[in-house]
Amino acid sequence: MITKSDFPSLTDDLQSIFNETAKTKVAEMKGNQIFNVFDTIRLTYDHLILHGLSGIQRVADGQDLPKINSEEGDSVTWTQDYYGAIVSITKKMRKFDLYDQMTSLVKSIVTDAFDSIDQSLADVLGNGFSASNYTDVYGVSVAAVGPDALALFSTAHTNNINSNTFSNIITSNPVLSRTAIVTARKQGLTHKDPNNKIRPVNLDTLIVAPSNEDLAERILYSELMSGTGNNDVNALKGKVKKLIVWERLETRTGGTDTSAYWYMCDSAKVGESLQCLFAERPSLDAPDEVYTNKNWDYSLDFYYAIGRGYPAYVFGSNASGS
Amino acid sequence: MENINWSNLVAKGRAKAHGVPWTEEEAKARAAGVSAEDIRDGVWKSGVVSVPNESAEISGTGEISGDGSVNANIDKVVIKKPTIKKAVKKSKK
Repeated sequence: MITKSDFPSLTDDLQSIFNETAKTKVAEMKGNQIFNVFDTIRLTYDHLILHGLSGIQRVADGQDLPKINSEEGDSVTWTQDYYGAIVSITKKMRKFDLYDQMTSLVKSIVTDAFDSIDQSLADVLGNGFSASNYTDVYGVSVAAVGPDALALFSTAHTNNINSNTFSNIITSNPVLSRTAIVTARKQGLTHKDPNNKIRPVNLDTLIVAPSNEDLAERILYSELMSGTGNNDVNALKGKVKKLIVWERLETRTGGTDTSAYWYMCDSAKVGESLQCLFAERPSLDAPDEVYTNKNWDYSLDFYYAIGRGYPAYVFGSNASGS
Repeated sequence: MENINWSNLVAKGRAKAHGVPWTEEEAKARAAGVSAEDIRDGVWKSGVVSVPNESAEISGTGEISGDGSVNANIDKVVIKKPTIKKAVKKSKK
C-alpha cells in the first residue's frame, strides 16, 4: 500500500516515467525539424515582417552613402494558449499497489501531449490550402491564414509595400514526381521579393506523408533517373538534402486524407515561415496537498502558440493537378 | 492564437472584411487587377471578371454580358493596361 509518506518517492518515480517518455516522443516528433521551435516569456508575441533594405547604390568620390529605409511588411501577434490535463492516481491504485496502471497513465498522457503538439503543427500544412478556419486537434476552431490574410499556400500572396504578389503553391499542384520537384526548385530559386529582386529560396528539404515515402526515396536517392530506362545521372541527388516523412501528414485532424500532399522548404529560412513558441514546455507537476482517502491529482500542462510568418520559404502541392 | 492586422489589410484591399479573407479565386482576381470594391460589392462574381478600365484588353473565350462584365475563366484572362507610349501618342493627336 502506498501511504502519504510514500508521496515523495512516488512523485520521483512518475517524474522519471515522464522524462523517459517525453525524451522518446521529442525524438520522434517531426514538426520540430521544420518549425522554428523556441521559448518565450511573453503572453503575446509581436512579429513584424521586414523585407530588408533595398537601394544599394554606386557611391561616387566624395558622395555620402545614400540613406535608405527598411521596407516594413505585415505584422502579426501570436498569443499563448494553455493546454493540460489531470492525471489522477486513485486511492485504489495506491491501496493495491497498482504500479502498472500508474505507469501506463503517465506514459499515455505524456504521449498524448506530444502527439497533439506534433499533430497541431502538421495540421498547419494539411490545412494550408484553404483560408477557412479549421478545427484543430484540441477541438477548437482556429484561423488558417497568415499575416497577409491568405492561406499558407496561395498563388497570390500579397505584401504591405506594393501590389506585387508571389505564389508558394508548386505550379498546378502536381502529384509528387521528379519533374514536379525540379519545377518547384526552379520556382523557389527564381522567387522575387516585394521589391521585385530575385531572392532565391533553396528548396532543399522534401516533406511527404508515409504514402509517398518509397517514391520520394527513389526520386531523391537513385544514382540514375528513377523509373525510366534513361541512364542519365539523377541530378536531384544531393540537391534535396533532407527527406522528412511525417506520419501525421497522412490524415489531417478531422479525417481528411492528405496523404498525397507534399511540401518543400528552405531549411535555412523556413523558421521565418513556420514558428512554434513555447511559454512553458510540457511538465508533470505534483499536487500541493495529498489526502489519504482522495485521488492524488498530478497535472500535465503547457503553454504554446503556433505562428505563421512570411510564407515564401515553404512551398506545397495538394496534388489536385489544378 | 493568431491576431493579424485586419484593419490595415481591409484598408489596402488585401482582405474582404475584418476577419474575412479573400478566397483563393478572389485573391487571384485581385492580383489580376480587379478592384477590392468590385469584389466586395458583388460586381465581380466567381468566374466573372469585370473590365478595370476602357483600354483593357481581354484575351480568352469570355463573352461580354450586358453589365460590362466578362464571363471567362480567370486563369485565361490577360488584362493589359495602356503603356506610356500609347498615352503620349494620344496626347499628340
